[in-house]
Amino acid sequence: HDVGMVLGYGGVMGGEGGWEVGRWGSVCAPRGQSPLGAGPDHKLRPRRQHVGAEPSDGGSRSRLPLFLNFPPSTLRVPFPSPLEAQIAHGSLAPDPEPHKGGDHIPSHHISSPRHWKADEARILRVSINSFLDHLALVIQTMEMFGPPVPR
Amino acid sequence: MAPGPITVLGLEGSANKVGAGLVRDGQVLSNPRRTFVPPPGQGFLPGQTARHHRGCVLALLQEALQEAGLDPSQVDCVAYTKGPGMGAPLVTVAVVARTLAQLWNKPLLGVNHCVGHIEMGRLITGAQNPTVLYVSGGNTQVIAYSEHRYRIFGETIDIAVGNCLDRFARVLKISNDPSPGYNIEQMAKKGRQLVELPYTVKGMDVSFSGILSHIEEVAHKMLASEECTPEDLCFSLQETLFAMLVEITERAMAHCGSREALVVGGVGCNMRLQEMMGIMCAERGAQLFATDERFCIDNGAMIAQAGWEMFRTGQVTQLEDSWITQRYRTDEVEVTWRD
Repeated sequence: HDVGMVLGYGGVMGGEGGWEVGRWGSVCAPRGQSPLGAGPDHKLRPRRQHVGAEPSDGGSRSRLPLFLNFPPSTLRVPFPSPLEAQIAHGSLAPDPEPHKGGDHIPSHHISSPRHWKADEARILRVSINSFLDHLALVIQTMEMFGPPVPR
Repeated sequence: MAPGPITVLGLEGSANKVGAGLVRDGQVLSNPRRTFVPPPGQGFLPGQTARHHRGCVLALLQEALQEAGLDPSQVDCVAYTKGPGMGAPLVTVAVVARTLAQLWNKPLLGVNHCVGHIEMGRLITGAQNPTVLYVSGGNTQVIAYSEHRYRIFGETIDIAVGNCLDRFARVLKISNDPSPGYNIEQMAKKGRQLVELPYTVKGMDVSFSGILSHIEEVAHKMLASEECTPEDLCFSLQETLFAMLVEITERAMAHCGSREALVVGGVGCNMRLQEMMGIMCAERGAQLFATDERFCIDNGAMIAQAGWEMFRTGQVTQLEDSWITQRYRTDEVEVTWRD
């Protein structure tokens, strides 16, 4: 199916001892339209090394990241129609994730792919768990109170 | 706004209560609620509370619609609590509200929880322009309306009065069922002795954390030496906390020349607090308004009612602006529905 929700995440163990994590939740648009998000959002912050990327900064070897080769993984959740996929995205997108140190990513960035850093794998786990919990709740809500009224 | 009746669905879940209420033009059509009750000695944690809400919010919604005898197509607007409150439970309910609004193609409306309490209190009691004492597990504020804002005259500078009571209940391992405050109130009725506790009114503000630390420190010693009973401690704590609240409310009423006082929030259904407020009001020739536990304690209808007032004056929340916020002060809301 052409319509789905993509959840991807990958992680590297950074040279400074922190986890760097990218996660994105987005709706794949039907064929012929550009998907609502593919690839990292450069506006949020300068990119650091990501999974699979070659270290570009050869000069400072001591700061090179230690790679833990997590393959980036993707979860596709099919919806019966583009409208329902759009609704799910609309329900999950507005809330900013709490950033490290309580710093929030501005909500208007959330509809595009998002990235954030977590100092501990635990924080990453909690975040993805909560994303999936909310996704499940959206789907249950659709099952009980759907289908969407035609517009 | 379009003529004819307006029906608003309100969803609340900012703390350990989750509720769905339907209000049509000042009439509460349904207002079911569920409460997450942790074991004695424990408080409610955000993750557990959110799990509780996820587990029952959809059944509650169905119950609310059935009781009101309404079809989703008859709902004009979906209101939900935007804040303040605990993050995880707030998001849980907001996610459902957003999904419903989109499924039904209806406008969405983010409501300030405190404003919800005030508007519900005004609706149920008919108070016109009261000085409001808003007391709950998360908030303690004295509020008066002026120039399209609910202005905060006084508030706690640390923890809420309900939080002080809840945490005291944990010290004594008092049951959280149906609520710690209710059980303290029942025990306090059997108190015979007033134990002296710090009294911390600071101008128009109050502080409760020092009282809590003090009672946490002395409680077990005093109980072990049989200087006092748990009932005496409940009684003394209530008397001290409520006297402070009555004092700042009275000062706000004197300042505003107010002839009406309204008590809202979960602690507001405490009959001893209502009694003390009643005495103060009688002495001032003012009238006291309070509601019972159905509307005092967090519920969906209060969000629906505030949402109804907002919606009829043209307010809506765009989907992308529907994020929740743990901090959301009462005076941030522009009150478009009052003169």
